[in-house]
Amino acid sequence: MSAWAWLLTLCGALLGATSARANPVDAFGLGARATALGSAYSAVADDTAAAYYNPAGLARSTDLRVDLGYQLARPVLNVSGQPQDLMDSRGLIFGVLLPGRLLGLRFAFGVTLFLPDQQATRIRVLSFDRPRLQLFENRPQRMFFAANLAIHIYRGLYLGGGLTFMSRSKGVVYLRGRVALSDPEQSALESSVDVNLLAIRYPQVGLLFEATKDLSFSLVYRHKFLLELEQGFNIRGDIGDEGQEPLVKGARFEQVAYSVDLFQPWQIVAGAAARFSSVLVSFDLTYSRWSEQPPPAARITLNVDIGRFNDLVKLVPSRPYPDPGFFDTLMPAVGVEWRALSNALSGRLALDLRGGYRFEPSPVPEQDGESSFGDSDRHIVSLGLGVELSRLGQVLKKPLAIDVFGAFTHLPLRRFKKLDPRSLVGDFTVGGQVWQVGGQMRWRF
Amino acid sequence: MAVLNMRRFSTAFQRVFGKPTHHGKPQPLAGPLAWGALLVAGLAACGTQGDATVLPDRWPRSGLSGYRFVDADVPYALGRFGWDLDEPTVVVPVMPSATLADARMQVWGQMSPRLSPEKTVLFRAGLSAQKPNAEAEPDEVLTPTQPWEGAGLHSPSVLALRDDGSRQLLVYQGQQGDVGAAVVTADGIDKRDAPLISATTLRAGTAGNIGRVSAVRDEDRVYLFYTLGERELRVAETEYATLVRAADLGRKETGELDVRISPPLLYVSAVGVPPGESKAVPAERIGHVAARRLLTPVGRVRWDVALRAQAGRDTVLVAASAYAEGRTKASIGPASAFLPVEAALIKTSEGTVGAPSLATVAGRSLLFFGLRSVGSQVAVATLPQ
Repeated sequence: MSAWAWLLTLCGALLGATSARANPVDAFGLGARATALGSAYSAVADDTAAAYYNPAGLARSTDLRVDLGYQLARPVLNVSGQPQDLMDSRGLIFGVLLPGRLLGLRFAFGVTLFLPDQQATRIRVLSFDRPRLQLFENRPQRMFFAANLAIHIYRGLYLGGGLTFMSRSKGVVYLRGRVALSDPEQSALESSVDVNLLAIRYPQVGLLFEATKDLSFSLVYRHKFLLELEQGFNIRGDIGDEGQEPLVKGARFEQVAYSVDLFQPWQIVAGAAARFSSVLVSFDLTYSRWSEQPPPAARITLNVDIGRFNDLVKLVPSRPYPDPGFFDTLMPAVGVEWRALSNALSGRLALDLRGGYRFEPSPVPEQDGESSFGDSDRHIVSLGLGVELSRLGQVLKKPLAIDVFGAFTHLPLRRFKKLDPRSLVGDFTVGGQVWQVGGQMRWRF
Repeated sequence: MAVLNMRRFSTAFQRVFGKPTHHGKPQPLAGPLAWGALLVAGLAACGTQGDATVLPDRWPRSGLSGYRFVDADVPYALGRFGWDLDEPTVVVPVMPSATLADARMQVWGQMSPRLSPEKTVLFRAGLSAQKPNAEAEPDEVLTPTQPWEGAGLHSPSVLALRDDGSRQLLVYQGQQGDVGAAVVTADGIDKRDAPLISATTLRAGTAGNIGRVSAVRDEDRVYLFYTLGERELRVAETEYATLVRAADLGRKETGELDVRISPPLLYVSAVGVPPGESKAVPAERIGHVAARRLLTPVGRVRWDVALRAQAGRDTVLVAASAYAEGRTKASIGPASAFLPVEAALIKTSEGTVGAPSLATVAGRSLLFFGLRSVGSQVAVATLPQ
């Protein structure tokens, strides 16, 4: 296959991908260095974290890279003063970046994985009126796996894009045979199950421009993600006792439940990074299209055909749910990295100190009606440390980076009032914190 | 032609983990960094064993429906052999306990000998919030002694006069619906001779009978909720200081308390029986009201009334609710109207439900109510967690 064919295939895949994105990386960041910088990383990325922050950054690296780390986020949230049992989001981070050349252009291919400890995907669909912390239940519990390709186009200009992979389930349980009337235990039904885990791909593309060697700009688009589940059962058979003429021949009962388990909006990120001597300052501004959030509840369709008894059965159609009315959000993030030590220990050690701040406004509107989606704004403060070890002998000829970070998210108390005093949930408040820690090793070869 | 430098990758890998020998077996790992890398990967891999913990829903509810017996096998909080118990009223300490295990509450109510149902007396019992279905036996604390009280007392309500609960104001009714008061201390109960409010005043010019009166304090005011003629909910409003002074003046005080009677706040026809169901019909009678004032988590006042509704042979417990907003000085009562909840407080086939009482103790929502099968006892239910 020619290089142009590869490119066309990549573009086709990007355009043809289904909508997607909902992951713990959005919520808590990816990688120790990026998270320490407050996730203001789109113009800084040059490692495997670029797979999320800006795929174009992959092509900056001329080294083969292997990154391995672990990160944990623990939400400690209260609803009306009552502590909530929320799951940690924790897991292994692994990434590989392979540089190469294409038609004389430098390019890089990278794969990045966040493998959670607990659930590859968490599926929990609740009824519309059931209260929940919308952005802390399913959203941080899923695997993230992205593959990206980036090219150095021209003098400091990089373009990258790729796909993130996910799967959704679609399944039906079939029952076939005879349903006995007088004694249900005499029914003779054969069962079969047909379940498919269907692949979902969703794209991200990024542009990176190094205006000077100390000044970079970035632009990133991440597509939206909607994980729909489709599950049902299908019963076909005769109704009647064994040895007798069936009361109904070929009766049919079908049920299908569609539900939205995960949703993440499409996002546009604009970023910049500037280096002033030993200090790197980065800034990201992310627009998130939360207003497309569909009602997070199941729609159920029922079909029944029992011949001459159809008039006796009245099926109530699944009611339409109101638009949850989420707001689009604009999220600023800023990060600072200071090279505190360079060439220490005879040039073997360098030390970076990092800090960051991000503000994530809540997309959740007032909950004065039927729904009770609890959420609050987030102020995220992060700190980190990076050690770069050089001249480690024949094993590693290039510097090895070891990064650690800690982050604290403050959710100020938010008050939700119900219009109807009879609401079964009633007025409520949401507030709390999220604690994060993590570490990562980054090898270059 | 695309050239992916796999040879370079292979070389780097071998640098770290060692080259395979010609026998195909790898050499020992080269260097402590490789061991470190393996350790990190190993620890992370061990962590991927998973945790299938089921998340309970620990979201507080408003407590207006959906109660279940604390224990379906042991549904009763209070009972006494040979007596019928009903009209429980829960008194929660003003300074609540920090934990459920420490929390205690008082339950007042009425009881009568099974063979003489008209001779009702008031009882009192202490219960633990953690195990309210103790099937405890209450003590008889107040009997009728005044002519206006008739043969029996009922409808106790208790207002705290001191934060530590050492001095309480007991509001109750005589047989004909007149309202009396008594001061409760550790030394005993000092009853006022004359009624505070006559049934005639509460009738507000109508001929309806007066249902259970439930007194609740709202800062400088006291509201007495009751049903009139089993068809409408009303409130008698007075000043707290006036009420306390009238009760404190002693047994010789004979003047009636000055109260204002509200217009109907809820009509019988607004309540469906069974509530919220497609076969629901308008209630024919409502009564046995118990009211509470609570501060929602956002700091606004909500008023709830729990009551018994009947239609035909169906008897249910249902709540109605209102926010205390938009009131003026001319308004009477805590709200202009109460809205009935379209779901029952509790569904039970264990017997016929009697008078309810709602309480929240150490974060736990509790519903006490009379429940009659052979006899009548006080049952207790809670919201499922």
